[in-house]
Amino acid sequence: MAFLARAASRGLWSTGRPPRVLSSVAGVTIPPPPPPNATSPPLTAGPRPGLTSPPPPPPSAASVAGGFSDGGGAAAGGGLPAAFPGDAPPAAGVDVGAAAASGAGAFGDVGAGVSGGAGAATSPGAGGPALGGPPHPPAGEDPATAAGDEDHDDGDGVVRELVHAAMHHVPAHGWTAAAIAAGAADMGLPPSSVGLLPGGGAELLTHFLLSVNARVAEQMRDGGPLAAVVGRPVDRVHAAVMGRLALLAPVKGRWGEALALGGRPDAVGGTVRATAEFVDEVWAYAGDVSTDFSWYTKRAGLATLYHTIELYWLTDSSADAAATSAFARRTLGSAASADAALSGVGAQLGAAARAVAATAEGVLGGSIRRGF
Amino acid sequence: MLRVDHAGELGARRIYAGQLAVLGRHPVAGPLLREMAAQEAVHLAAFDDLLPRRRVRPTVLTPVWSVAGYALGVGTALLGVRGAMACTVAVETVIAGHYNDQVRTLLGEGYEAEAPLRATLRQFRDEEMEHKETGLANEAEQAFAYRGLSKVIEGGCRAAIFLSERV
Repeated sequence: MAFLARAASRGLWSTGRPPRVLSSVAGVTIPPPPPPNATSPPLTAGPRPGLTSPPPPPPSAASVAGGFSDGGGAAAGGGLPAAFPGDAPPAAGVDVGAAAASGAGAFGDVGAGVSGGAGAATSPGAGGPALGGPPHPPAGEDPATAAGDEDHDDGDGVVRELVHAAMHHVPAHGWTAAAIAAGAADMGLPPSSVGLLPGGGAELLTHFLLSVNARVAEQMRDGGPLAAVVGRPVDRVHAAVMGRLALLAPVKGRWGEALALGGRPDAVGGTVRATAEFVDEVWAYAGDVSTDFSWYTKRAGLATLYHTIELYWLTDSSADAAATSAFARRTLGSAASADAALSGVGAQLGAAARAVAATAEGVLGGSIRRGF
Repeated sequence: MLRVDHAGELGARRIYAGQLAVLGRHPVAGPLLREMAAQEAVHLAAFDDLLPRRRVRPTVLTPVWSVAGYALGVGTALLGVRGAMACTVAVETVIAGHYNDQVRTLLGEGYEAEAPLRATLRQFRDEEMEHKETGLANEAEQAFAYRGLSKVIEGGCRAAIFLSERV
């Protein structure tokens, strides 16, 4: 009774505690969360390095890359583009994202790589980070973030640039965070930007492989050097394989390391995916139009052959990888004729089934006869 | 999307092949089945052409559908002409519905450029409906255990569509 009297005199919600309905329902708006960077240091490791400093124009990357592309060009015998993507200096210093997208436009076309078409879409004036970081406060609340945001590049574009910069250091440092840190230093980013590639060397390798895929695909397109190759499918496959090895030439010294790294459980997903994309591109380029199970056997077979050729290439010291080229021709040629001879999955499955049956018969028959 | 269509047409082709293996010499059903099989062959050729053009991966289960379709064709044909027609009706119902869903998806946003594909799918759907009408006209509903048979076959088709979309 006393409670009722109190409630009646002071109104329904006068228990002293805040109302137990949602504030918005009662007409009260919830205050926005405090801006995330209000008291924290200006730079945090992780996905928004560009917030407080505008992304710098890629610095002497052009000159560094020039040295590399000479080495790469000489190794490849000319006719192939520069060693790493985006070597052409971008048009405007600030518009890094667009430059990265145009320099590596094949990313969007191939649909592979870091961000597909997303990198091309963002202009420097875009507000929210594409990476889905903490909820963005309204522009007026935190001047630092608001001002920094105008120059904020699409996160994926920064990652691409970082990979590109880091690759220049891989011959010196190997596939390690040290290479990434050196690349970040080149770009003028703080050392904590290593966090952009949390997988470390393995992730760097994956990004590199995907970018190589994209460039090979670009070469295969009309007007590229690989598009001009005519002849039997095996010739085109050979040209594509040698083209990819040429693109790997700048890091050949560290490629053994890369293969070991790529086999590790955390990296194997990326390497397998990169190989799968590559063999699919090559078969499409070689004119494969199969729509039955041989679609899978062809690609699996080519993946195996490619890795064999790659291993041979690793220890090849001949000029211009000529010995590898000959080896590749022999290997691919014999595979092609074997494939023709076996003529289709049916024969292969039949042969496999017969082999299994014969083995089983031998094992079981032997056991049964011996009285097991 | 195209992967499922391709798998479906492959299955349909194999079903007709199985049915023809049993009923090929039937005076009425034989020519009818041959005509429907020819139309399905045209459909399959269209998808065989579209798949590599669009860099779509065929389903891993192509050998499975090949065998299963043939077995289904033979099995239903052994139930007689009416059984074969019942199988046709069931399969075509599911396939026509599936094409309809796809056309509806293609009418949505972002697919304006796909008008030729939409037209192709519409045409195929109309032809599948024709097959269904043919089946019904040929006493499919009087087949032995028609209702149960249709349910089983329709369920199998839907499972095949589900799997082909994913694998």
